[in-house]
Amino acid sequence: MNQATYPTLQQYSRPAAASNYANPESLQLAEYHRRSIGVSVIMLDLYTRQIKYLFDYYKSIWLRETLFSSSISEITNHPAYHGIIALGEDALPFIIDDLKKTDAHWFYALEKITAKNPIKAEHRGNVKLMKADWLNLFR
Amino acid sequence: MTSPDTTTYNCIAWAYGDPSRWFWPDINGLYFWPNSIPRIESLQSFVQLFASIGYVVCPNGSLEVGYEKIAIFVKQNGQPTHAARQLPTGFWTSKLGQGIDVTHSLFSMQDSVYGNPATFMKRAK
Repeated sequence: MNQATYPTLQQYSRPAAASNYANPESLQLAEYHRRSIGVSVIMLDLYTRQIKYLFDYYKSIWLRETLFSSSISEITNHPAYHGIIALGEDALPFIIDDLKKTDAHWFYALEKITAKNPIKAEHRGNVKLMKADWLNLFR
Repeated sequence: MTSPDTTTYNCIAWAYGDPSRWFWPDINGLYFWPNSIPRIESLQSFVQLFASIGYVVCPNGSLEVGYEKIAIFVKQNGQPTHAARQLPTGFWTSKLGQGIDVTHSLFSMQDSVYGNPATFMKRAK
């Protein structure tokens, strides 16, 4: 019996179902999936796993390289942080899940992705309250 | 090391004496910075921050009886990066960004990722 195998992140360039005219390098990942793959449950799961992989990868770099920084500008301008922002709304579930468990400074990323800012003026700087403001929005 | 990692306050808050929040004059306005002080990432803004709670600029970080001191660090480009507060022993206490609090000598922080102390300030205890 043939064993179904899924491409690794490095191997993933174009799925078998994609036409010869698909050019994944020129498309954003999400758009590529919509055009070439459709709403296959299996492929959506693979896509979600890829996003999670990228999120975890970028997050680990971001946290490690900004651990000793007090400058929020440095922390939120880090390339890995912007890599997470570039994942867009697909990264939101992972950001929110991480925010529930930690006090990481996701606030700028959340504002950039959602174009919202639920943080009350009097809560600015109080990380616990800022976190609560965002989690209330996603409740 | 004098505390575990925490992301809820930074070195500025620790030196200021208010570890309930993160102090930084970010242009996005998400973090705490007193309204009366320009929200600019400049040494002058940080000097004004500590001046607002009674500190005045002084020439060095040597221990003076009756005074507590802080040191504001900048990188070579003049960008503020860190603040440390002097302890009664003459050693200094710092919150290392999102990491731990530590007690240290001023010498141990020179030429670090934080740059060097650019300004010392003191106030009567």
